[in-house]
Amino acid sequence: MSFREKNAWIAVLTTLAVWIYYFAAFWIDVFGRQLDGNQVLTRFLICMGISLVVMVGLNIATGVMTPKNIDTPPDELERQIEARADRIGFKLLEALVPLGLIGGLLATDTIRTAFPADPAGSVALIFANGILMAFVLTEVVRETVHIVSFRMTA
Amino acid sequence: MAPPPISNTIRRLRFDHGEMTQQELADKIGMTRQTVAAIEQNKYSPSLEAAFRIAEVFGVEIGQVFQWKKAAAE
Repeated sequence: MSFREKNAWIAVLTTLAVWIYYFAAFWIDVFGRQLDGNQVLTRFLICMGISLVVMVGLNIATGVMTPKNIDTPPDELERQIEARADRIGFKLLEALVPLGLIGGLLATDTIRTAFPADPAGSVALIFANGILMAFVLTEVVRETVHIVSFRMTA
Repeated sequence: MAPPPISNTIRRLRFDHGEMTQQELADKIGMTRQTVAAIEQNKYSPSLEAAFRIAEVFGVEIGQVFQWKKAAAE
């Protein structure tokens, strides 16, 4: 398995583990009508921190095990796979962001009614997390394309 | 995905050059071992530049490394 494929596995597994927890907790709060901005922000920062530490740590560990791969620039096959993953990821993001925004705009009144204590804050939180979810999903798909492409040529 | 209609003799050429490993060939042409393996197994068609580099390593013409499979292409 190449160094870049290992990076892709690390990114997918870490992202899935950390952000599935984050978004599950967030949407449970939303549907349970218990949205607390401070709690969401704290949870977001913790998840972001864990995600960064685990990914950087595992990538360094992988690099130490195969030191000569760290500085090696990607070869033509790796660049081709990278370009394919970027293209698919960008197309997905292009579709998800407008969908999320339109869906959010259509649901604004419902959200305001559901959270009478802080309607504006709740709408902003749900919008922000919807966009964040689109970015995380795009990243998972992008890295999965890497893995599938590497496996197809292995 | 159908394999490209190109065959190659890289395995044979490596054998003829003192059992050169895929890693050694990869280092000589600036690629990863995994990419060399993909080329050798006909799962990836290299660029023209990479093909010339491979031929140069073995000191042969490019046509002796890669062959166009006419029947498969038609």
